[in-house]
Amino acid sequence: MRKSVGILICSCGPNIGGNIEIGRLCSEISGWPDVAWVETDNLPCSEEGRRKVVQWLKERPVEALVVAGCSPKEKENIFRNCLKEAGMNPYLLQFSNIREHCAWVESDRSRAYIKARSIIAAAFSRVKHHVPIETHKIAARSEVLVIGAGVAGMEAALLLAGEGREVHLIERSSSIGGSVPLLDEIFPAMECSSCLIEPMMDEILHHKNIRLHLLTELTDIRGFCGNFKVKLRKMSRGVSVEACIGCGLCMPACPVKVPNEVNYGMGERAAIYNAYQGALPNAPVIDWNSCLKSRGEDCSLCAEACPFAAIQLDGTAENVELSVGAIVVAVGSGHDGIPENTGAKVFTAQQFERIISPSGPTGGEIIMPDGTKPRQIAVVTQTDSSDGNRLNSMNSAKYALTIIHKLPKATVDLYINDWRLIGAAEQARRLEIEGSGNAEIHWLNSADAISVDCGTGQVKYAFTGMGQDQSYDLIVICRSVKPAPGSDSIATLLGLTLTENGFFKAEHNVISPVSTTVRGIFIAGSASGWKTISESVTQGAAAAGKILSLLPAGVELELNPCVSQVNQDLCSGCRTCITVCPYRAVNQGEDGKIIVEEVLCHGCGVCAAACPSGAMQTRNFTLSEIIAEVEALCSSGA
Amino acid sequence: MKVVAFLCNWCSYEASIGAGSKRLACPSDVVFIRTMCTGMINPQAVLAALARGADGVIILGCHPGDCHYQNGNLHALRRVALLKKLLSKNGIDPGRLILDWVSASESDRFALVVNSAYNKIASAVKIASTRD
Repeated sequence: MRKSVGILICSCGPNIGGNIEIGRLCSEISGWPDVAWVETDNLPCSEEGRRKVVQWLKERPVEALVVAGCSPKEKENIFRNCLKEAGMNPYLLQFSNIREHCAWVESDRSRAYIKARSIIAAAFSRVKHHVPIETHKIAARSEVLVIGAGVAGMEAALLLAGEGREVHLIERSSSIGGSVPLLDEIFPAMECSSCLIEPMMDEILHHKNIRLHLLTELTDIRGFCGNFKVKLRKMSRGVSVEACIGCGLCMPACPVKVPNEVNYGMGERAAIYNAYQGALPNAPVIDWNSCLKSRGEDCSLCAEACPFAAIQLDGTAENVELSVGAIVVAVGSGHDGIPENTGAKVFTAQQFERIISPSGPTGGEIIMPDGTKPRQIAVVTQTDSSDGNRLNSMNSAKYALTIIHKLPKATVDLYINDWRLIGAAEQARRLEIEGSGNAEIHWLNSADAISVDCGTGQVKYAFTGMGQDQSYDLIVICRSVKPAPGSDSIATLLGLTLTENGFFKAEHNVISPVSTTVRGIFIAGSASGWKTISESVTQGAAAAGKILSLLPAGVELELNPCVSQVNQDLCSGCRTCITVCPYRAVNQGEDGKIIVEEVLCHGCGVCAAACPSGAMQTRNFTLSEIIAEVEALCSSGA
Repeated sequence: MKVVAFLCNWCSYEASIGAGSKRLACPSDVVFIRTMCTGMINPQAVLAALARGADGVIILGCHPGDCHYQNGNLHALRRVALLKKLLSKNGIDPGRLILDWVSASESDRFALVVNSAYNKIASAVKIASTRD
């Protein structure tokens, strides 16, 4: 292929020039056919150097340029801009690396010379196949999808909505707030958690820019930063939130009784129920798995009891499609399930939290199922992750304080391996517990095995190395924090990676804790590992700020122009490309033609390599360009 | 010897830059071609290298599960398996085609993997020449 080519060899001070005889290389290369000119510079990436490059391109126009220097990942864009400034298409450039791949690693000067020549020959051969590539811009969507209406997701949604963004806040459960409204008090200030969170929840429910989608899960996503197309599946609530006034007449009418999962199996609820007392929005929800009507029986007692015709027993799930510019993943965390061998005297932290909560099954009183008040209580931490240690430290201190306060006659034994109480307020609480006279702290060694024995009705904990078993009336076990259920499937859909513990992985834990490796998708709160409430709020705000800065109103995003394209004359319509594309960017039109949706294509080229007829090519990495490079490398003398 | 090594932009190319910065040498006659992803490496390009006299081809991608484009490296894995069969059927030692994984941070490993692949190719070529 004939094309006049300019060649620029960077000396990079002594970095390249010190090991490669650049003068000799220039004069040899200038003798190659089609080489219009060869220039060298000590530092062409400097401001002065760039001016010279533009000047050379303007004074002695060429059809393509080769730059031999450092890593194209570092400097390619600088020289593409030089081409642009000189009035050329920026993709008529091939940048080859003679520093890290040659000058820095070849110990022998003559070998370094030959290798540099071979690398430049390959770039020269390749660049003759380059064609102009046009760059397009498209407007970014301003809407944002927030997954999870816990405290982190709510904070992100409120900040974005306050800036005028339309926010789609999706939540898998029937109410907003996440785990915070289920807590009794927040350590160390021992403030009422629902009092703290309620104003925020109220704002979410009434904000004109927030579209709340409850009982909704993400099912599909395509696209990229600025233009995500998402599909949601919205389960029916069975109750119109608009028509319902929350009078609760429907619930006693329901003949079904099942264990209440929000109280972790303690107490019962009907098939139509409020998730918990004070759950918002203030309207019950139908559990279709236990509703008699949905199981085929002739029952509509709840609908008959409703004075406002709010019950929708024929409710079906609906699919919703949205376009959004950015996504916040704020799905929170989960916890170990209830241990199977616990008797009526052993509770998990989550169960105990409901017991001490005024909205819980005992109205906040610490009483045993037989109505007695426990006298000897143990709080035990069982943790296998450092994240959980922090939570369990705070929880165990909170429970000790609550027990001391609510049951002044009881004693509390705390079994702790690592009491991570941080800051003056938390340390003050520790002193309060230690000075109460009702609490005793037992430090566990890492070798101590803790086991529950509730077979005989007498609850025992066996600690190896502690000499003897202890019996208690009530035991609270603080177990490990786990990822929120379904985190793995959301990660797969969004193309995000998980940590080895199964939490969402930040782009970088220290410097970009709310970013992910996918541009336009952010994480906030306990989704990336357990966080305190204030940390979750901070991360929600951070994610909102990141989005407002990444996608300011009206911003246009430059699309990656190096995407795949189909030559319709060669395409047989075999659809192989469709099956391999990880982004579903390749589709077949109604006329049978294969189309690449450029906004969805990431330019990975997997379709082009799979195409049996060579019809699919990825711009700037076409087969002819790569083969030109391969052939030159194989035929040159290095 | 002449060995063509295809590197993916995100992991192995980045590792090659790290190796260069640490002055970790690879054999002089290994030449590198940057691609965006090992999943875009056309089998024809691999065959072209061998047809044009390359003694071997090395393909280095991201570790499985770490592909910048989700699973391009796994497509490369399948194609290499097929290519090896094709080479074998045509009397070419499949050991002359080597696929491995090097992450962006593994610059030391990059030099190790390239050097060891180079040696494996060298012995495959030697065996072939003895057979001839």
